[in-house]
Amino acid sequence: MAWLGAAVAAIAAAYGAYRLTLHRAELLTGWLLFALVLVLALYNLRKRIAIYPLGAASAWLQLHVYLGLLAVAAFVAHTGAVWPHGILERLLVVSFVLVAATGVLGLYWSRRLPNRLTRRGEEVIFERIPGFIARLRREAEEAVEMAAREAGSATLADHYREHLARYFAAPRNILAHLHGAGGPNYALLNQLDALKRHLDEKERVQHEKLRALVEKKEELDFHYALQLALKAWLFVHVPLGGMLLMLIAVHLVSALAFSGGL
Amino acid sequence: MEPLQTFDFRSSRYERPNQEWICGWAREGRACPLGPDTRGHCRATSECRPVDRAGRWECTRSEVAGGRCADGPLPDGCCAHSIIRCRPLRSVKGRRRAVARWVAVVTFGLLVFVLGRGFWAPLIDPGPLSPAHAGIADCRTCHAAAQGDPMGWLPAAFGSALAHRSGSRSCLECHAFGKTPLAPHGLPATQLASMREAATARTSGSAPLALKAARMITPETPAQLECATCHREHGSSIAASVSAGRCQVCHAAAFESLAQGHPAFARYPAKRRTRINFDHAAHIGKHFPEKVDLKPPGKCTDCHDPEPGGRLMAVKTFEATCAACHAVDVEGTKRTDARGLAFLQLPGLDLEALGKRGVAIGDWPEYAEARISPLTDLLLSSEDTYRSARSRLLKADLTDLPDSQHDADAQVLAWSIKMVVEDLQTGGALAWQRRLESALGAPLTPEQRRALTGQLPAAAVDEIQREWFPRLAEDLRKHRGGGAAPLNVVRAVRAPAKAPEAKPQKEASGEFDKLFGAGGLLGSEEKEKASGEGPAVPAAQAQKRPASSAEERMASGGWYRDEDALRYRPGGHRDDFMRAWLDAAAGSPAFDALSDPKKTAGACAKCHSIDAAGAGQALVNWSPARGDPTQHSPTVFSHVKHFSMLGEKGCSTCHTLDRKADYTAAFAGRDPSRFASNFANIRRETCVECHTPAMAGDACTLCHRYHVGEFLPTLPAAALERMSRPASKH
Repeated sequence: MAWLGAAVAAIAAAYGAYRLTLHRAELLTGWLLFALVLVLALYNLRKRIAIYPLGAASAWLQLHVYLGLLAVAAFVAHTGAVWPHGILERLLVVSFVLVAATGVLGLYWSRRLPNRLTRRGEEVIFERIPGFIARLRREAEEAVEMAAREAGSATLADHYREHLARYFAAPRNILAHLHGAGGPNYALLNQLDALKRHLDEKERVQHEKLRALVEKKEELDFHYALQLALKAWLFVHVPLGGMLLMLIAVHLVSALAFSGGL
Repeated sequence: MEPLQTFDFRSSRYERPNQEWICGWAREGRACPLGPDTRGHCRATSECRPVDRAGRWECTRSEVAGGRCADGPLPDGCCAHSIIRCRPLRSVKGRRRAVARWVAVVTFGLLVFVLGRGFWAPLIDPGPLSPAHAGIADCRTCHAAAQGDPMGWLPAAFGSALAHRSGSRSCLECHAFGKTPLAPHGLPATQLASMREAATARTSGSAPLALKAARMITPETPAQLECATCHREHGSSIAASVSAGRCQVCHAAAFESLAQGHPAFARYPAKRRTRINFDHAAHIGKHFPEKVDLKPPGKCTDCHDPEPGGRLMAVKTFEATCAACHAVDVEGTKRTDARGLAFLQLPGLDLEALGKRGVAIGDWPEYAEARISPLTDLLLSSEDTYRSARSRLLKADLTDLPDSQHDADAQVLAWSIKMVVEDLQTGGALAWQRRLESALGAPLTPEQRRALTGQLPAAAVDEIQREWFPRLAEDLRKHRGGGAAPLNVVRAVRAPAKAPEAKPQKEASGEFDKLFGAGGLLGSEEKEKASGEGPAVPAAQAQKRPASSAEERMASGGWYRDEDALRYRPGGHRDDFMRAWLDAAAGSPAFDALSDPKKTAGACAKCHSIDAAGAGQALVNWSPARGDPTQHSPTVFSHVKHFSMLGEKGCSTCHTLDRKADYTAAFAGRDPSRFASNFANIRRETCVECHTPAMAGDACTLCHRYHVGEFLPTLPAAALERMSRPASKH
């Protein structure tokens, strides 16, 4: 981190010195910002053309992170943290802030969520989770049918239909899992446990099986929520990044054309 | 519970998250192994594609999908387990790419639409103009790029020619800053270089580190600086806000702050000697205490008022400040010689010798014994013959011509004077104008003509002709006809206008005195020496001089005849005649005598200093320093703003009298830059007492202005004919 601190100090000093010159600092920060955004966008390109030896993706990611933070500093210096008047500039500010914020959020999540994922449940591939949920749903429905068939009672089946059918239909409680809250699932298990005293021995066997399936579903929901978060921020970051490039191009041309001879 | 998935190659199918589409059955956990094509079409047919091995169809379903099926292929070689076709879904990455594509397409489309339809103004609206420019409604007024469509922005943005951008040129259409407005400070490079050299010599310390770094980035000052270097439009103010560092990046003499390293004030505030020769030290220390009865000034503000704008402390009027003591100097009340300026002076001639030698000069007054006056010489100098004769008479004494060496020249002199009188009598002001224009070598303006003639009455000219040259017309006719007009000595018939106690002056100075000798305009001293009997008037008449002489009667100013001279007595301070003659005669031989307060009535040059104006010309400073809206000095200061900061010391807080300075010596010459001020330089430390970053501020632009030099604001060029047009909204 020492070299990073030194680099930040050197950049700040150079910028401070540049502000003393007769050049317009906005032009410097503007060009710098444009260059940084271009290089940051190249990271996405680098991932697409993995066949060429353009350096390790991890190194690119590291560069992407540092340059992204530098771009935030350049953005603040360029705009002076002033809300602009033009629609184009306002769109630029909004899109940059969103891109930067999602980038920071993505960085945070990519550092924190994998650890949480490895600490709980089995490792599952995100794309397979819907299939696994369907499998759990089928097993749950089989257990409920078995209980009804063997005990001749619809107690467990009614409970499943009223409280668990929707739960097993798709990933649930995504935000709660993202925040680490287990409340909703805890309530489901409580309800299921409260039902136990109304069941006979045969039903209780299926009840236990159903309870295990609910806990497994919760683990899948947990993995789904966290893995979804690791992918979802890119839905804002990447598309708005492309939009940002186009807006910057128009802004750059108009700013230079109207720059007053500098 | 058993794990949901295993990761061996037999039980775990390879996932391809980078693919755009995934099988629609993946949600149910039974995605087909083939998957959709790149366009999202389902390609599923059956669970396997049987192969023919030795005439027998065999199932090829993979281990991952369950291995060989029990049913086996159909007899025709088709799989017995057909797959129900799905509706493929976009993968996560596919959905993200789709979103990105849509955002890009929509953004591009909107930009093309908005820019193409000309709705770009709100798109790049930089905000309202500053109040100073709020009246400008059209972007094209300042921005050339706004004159075309957005496609024209490209050459404007990346073209190398400044003309494409036009920012500063647009500014200069309304704002004038001299001949080189975009040069640093609007000053020529040579002047900047000399200023830099002077400032460097007075600067101690070295540039701050940040400044050194900045100079590495821009080692040389650009030859031109655009307005936008310092001024920012589309904000609350167009006024430049420039840090000290940005100023110093060009300035060779760099320093930390006003308190640390700023050059000591040199010649501040005095850059030249005062225009009015007023010795503060002598007046405050000596004259005022001696004149208590005349109520001399007791405070600085008794003589000084802040001028409009508050920059200078202007000197109050002569009447309010100097008149109590010095009005007598102007009016000449205490003069021992003539109080009037000899406009036309008859020189004394050795009439006896000339008469004996038969030199024909016609009438000539016996009592004319003075030297010729400077103004008379000026009037005559338009004639070649006179100028030639004058050069030969430089060392001659016209009242003592023992031989005939100078007879011809004396004759030329006499006839030239007579012709002047004739001219004035017959041609009046027009003749006067012709002679002056010829002598001064420049046409006169109507105002100059009016002031230089002093409204000389025709009767006065007639009188001097009758008194001096009774037979002028006849004499001139003979002279011009080639005949001889013998000398006729005209005797005095009237009492002299001048008081008998008048004393002559003794010192000679200037070309005039070399030519005609010292003794003042009336030359009384020589007259007395020559006659040996005092004033050149009959004693009986002198004793009968009227109680009030012509000179005394003209105490309010005006023309009078004083024996052998036609004189003008100034009517007090700001006399137009005196001022006009001093201005007009600058550069002529008469100026030295006219500007000598001891010899000339009015004594204008006693207080009004005279500056050399180049090419032998001179400039009389008729007014003390005044704010000049066309002059923009590098330093700005407002006395008014500092009044509230002064304590008991008042003006002396900053202005300290320097009693040792030889103030008056500087006025012996005409170079205003060679001077000794009555006051010590303002000390930088005095300013630093308040001007710190925390108190009154110490920014460069607080005391210095960037746009310096002489320039007028751009004047509107509205044609008068527009005045007659009916008023309209625009």
